[in-house]
Amino acid sequence: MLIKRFKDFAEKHKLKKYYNLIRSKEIKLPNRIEKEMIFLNDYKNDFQIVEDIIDNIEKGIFYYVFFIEEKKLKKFETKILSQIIDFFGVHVFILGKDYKYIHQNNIYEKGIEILNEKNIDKRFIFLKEKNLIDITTIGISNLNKNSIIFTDSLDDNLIQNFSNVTFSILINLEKKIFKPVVFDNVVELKHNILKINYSELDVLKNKIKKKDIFSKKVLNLIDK
Amino acid sequence: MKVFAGNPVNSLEFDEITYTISTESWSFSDWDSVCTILEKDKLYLYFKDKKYEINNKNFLFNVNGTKIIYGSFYESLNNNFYLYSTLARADLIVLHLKILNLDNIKKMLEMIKSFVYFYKIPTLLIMRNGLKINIYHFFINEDGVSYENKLYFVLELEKNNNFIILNKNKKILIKKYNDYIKEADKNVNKKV
Repeated sequence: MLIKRFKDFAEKHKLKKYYNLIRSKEIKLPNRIEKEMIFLNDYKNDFQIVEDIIDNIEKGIFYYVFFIEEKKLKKFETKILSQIIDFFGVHVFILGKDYKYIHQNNIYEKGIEILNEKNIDKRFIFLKEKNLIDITTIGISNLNKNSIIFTDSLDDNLIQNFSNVTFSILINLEKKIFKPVVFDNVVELKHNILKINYSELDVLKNKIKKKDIFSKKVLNLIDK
Repeated sequence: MKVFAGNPVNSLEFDEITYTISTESWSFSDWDSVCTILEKDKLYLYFKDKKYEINNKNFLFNVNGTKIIYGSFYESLNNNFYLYSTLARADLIVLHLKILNLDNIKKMLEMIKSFVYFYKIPTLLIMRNGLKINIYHFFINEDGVSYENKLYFVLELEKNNNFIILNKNKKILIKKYNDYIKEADKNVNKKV
């Protein structure tokens, strides 16, 4: 069924080579989406992205992160990719010198930065190094619900501190994953799949939130 | 201002101590000096014949123009507490933790170190495990933040001259706080 649909799609957009690739494999749609799982891999070419998606979509993984070195993606490639990604309905992040976030036929170049007010609630945030030091950013990230932050910073110490303070998981361009020190089992990386255990994090976060008397006081001071 | 923290016996050799944080239930303070004393489980601030309990309502004190803020376990992990201290321009943070399990102390210290790294306020940590009391001092140096553990500390406090700049994200921050407070209120009303 899916392949038939894709055939129509491929004919419409003249994507024969992708169609051949997909036809050679069986694709089953997952029963449910695993929000806690993220696929991480190095970028080789656009074929490999499609292959990875086909291999992992059965497991219910809808978030894909690819790390690209030096070479920039051509506009043409990203356009085709965005159409294929739209077909599967997945989210793809391509991280390199310039961030790209492809979702539903939209390409967000240089990523969505925290400065962009509309995107503040998104689970995925891109932060530059100068933003990591900013107290305002820390405040906002800390109030966000469990977020995954991508950053271009290579300063391990800074990223680790940021992760501790905001209780968030950070991934930098060197494919290093940072988690708050107090938690041992929040993150698990197996066969390129990053599994995040939010429940442990939530327990502590909620406890802190319940005992928090300072948020109102902070708000009063900022409003002044 | 000179602040002493530890067992008051050790404070005898130092002169001109304006403020004592005593880890015992007594102190060598003069009549008109201020001191904080750890009695059983709680911290109390003494000034002349007055006694203030340090709790959720009384936590920020101005001693001779130096602002000292107190926090306990949940505050030590709460970003809002540190942000408030910075906005209120506190000169010293004193955290008082009761800890039952010694295994995770290092993680706890690393967490507090991270907060000091960003907010740059010197921090004293009084950690109690049964009858044992450990004092840690977090300070800012060239390499970032370090901490040390001694029997007692004598600190020369300087006025906090760090101005905080809230950039154009200020509006987003205010909006986020409003949402956060609403959500937190809901959680408090829920019976678990």
